Amino acid sequence: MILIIGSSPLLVGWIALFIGAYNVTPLLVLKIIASEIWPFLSSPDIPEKAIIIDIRLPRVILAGLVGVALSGSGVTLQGIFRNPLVDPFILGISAGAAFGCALSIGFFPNLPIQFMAFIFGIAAVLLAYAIAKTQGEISRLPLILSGVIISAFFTALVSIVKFLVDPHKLQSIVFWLMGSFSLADWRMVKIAGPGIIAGLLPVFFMRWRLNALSMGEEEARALGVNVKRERIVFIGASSLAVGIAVSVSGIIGWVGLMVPHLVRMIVGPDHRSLVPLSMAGGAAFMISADTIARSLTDFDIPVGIITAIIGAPFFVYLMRKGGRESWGR
Amino acid sequence: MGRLSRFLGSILLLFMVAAPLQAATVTYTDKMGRIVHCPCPVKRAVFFISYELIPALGIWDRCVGIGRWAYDNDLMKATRPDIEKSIPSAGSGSDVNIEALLKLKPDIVLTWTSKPETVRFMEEKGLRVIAIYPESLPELYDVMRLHGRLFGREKRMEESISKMEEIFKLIKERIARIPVDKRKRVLWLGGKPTSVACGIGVTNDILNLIGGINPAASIRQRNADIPMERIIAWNPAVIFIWGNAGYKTRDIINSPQWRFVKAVRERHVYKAPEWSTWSPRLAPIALWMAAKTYPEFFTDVDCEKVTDGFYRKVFGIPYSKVRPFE
Repeated sequence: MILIIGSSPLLVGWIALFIGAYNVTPLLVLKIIASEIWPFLSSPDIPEKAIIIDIRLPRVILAGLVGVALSGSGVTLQGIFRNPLVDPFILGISAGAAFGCALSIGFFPNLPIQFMAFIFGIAAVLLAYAIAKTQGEISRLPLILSGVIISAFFTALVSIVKFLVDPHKLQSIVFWLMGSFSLADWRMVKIAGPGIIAGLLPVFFMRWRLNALSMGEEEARALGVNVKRERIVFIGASSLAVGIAVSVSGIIGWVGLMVPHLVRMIVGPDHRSLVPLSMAGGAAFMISADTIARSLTDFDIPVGIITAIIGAPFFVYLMRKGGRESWGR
Repeated sequence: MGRLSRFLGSILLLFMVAAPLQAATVTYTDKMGRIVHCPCPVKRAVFFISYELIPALGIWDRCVGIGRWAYDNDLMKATRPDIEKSIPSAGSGSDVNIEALLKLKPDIVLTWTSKPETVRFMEEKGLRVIAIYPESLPELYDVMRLHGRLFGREKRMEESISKMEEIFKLIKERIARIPVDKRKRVLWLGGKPTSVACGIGVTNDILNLIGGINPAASIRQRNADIPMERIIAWNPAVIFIWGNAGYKTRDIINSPQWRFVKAVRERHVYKAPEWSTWSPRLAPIALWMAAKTYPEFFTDVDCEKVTDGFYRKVFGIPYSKVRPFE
């Protein structure tokens, strides 16, 4: 089972390369990929090559990266906050990023959306953190509460911008907020890849400490863990990853909540395997959802809609079936 | 006798006065299927939409309120430089400030159908509202003629329409010379590069009029988000970008994803001006598009000159006063 989940992104990603609106025969797909890997097998520069190499491949990779970021930070934050209902957006990243996007589209068209979304996403987390800190030592309830406050605040700011801009720009903002990979290209992969990996590497290598943190503050301290410092590291790292993910894809809900939950049901709550498998599962899920989004109909459905449509009922099912046992308390 | 003749005379006078009054009620079924009766000519109107028809009809004196987006419109600023100071706004078609609107005491509110509940709300507050959303060239003409009737400027509106028709005729004559198998695929990109104009709407009508083949026409919608792969499969020879889109021509030209699209390979990607297509300005836009699509058939046409002449005739200003073509 672990092997299946672990290798699922590669398998799903491979299959996704063969699916799309443009008719490319599987043989040609293989030829094109082979010629990219071994340059001596040069293939002519044909439209199919652009389809596979410049459209499907970066889109699959980007979806995978965003899936890794959302699911990886989901499982991390759930561990830190000891709450399976926490998701990467709880600290206000999505609302902050949405505001950055709205500002960029509405008033500062020369500042790239990605950059603005990232800056404001991280700014929102820092603000949430600063507010929580006014309560003395950072503990989980004040942090979640201040995340909710910051989300509400930035959501209101987004509404102001939406109100102030003309209908054309409003349409662009709404599009962006729906979350989609329809404009994915290598440039975005180059932005997202290093950032997401840099953000999640510390999480990956320190994942066993999440076991200690998820036992509760007292227990973690007793085990010699510096709770405060490690929380900051984990929150900072996952915020970085999510901030960058949001900046390239818009807001895609449910993945960070649903995938870790599902993986936890299968492999149990040990973060040593839970973290990497959640990342892998997140990538596979996101690639699948996006492949559905772009090939189910003639249209390019925003993938955020697909994840929500799959996610909400699935989550209800999970909660009924095994939510309690899987979390173990 | 004298009394009788005076009596008859006054009855005659009454008829003379009343007859035009009776006739002067416009009855119109709007885009939401509502039947609206409006006495005319209208003296006080609020334009949340269709404000580009104000200068075309020469009715600035009847406009007591305007949608807030009109303040950014190049044609509005050119024909009424003091618009922000002289004409108040009561919001827009999507966000109406009902008190501000009632204060303007309009005889009619012209708005669009984007938010039907707003239309109903205004109606419940005792306002006379017509909701507009032209989805084809005939529907646009219908809306224009409605404005002509409402403001008693039918003749002037017909003149504008005939000026538009003159340009369309010029285009059609040239397009008729193009063999059917030489017609080019033309795609219109919207708010984002993969959001395209489909088979319903004024834009699609114009693509047809200029002899283009809109590959998205089989999708019976106004706009749709299309996977990039499909656009490559359609392989349009010419691409137009909506004037209000947030990206530029070079964003398309320089993208590796678009490099196999014929229009990009041959550098036939153009961004339209930010002009309304629900306006007489549709005609010069169409001419510009036709000339960009089939330049070899328009070598003898000075588009700028035609456009300038059109602006002077229809709006009373030179073309140099508005935002120009790319």
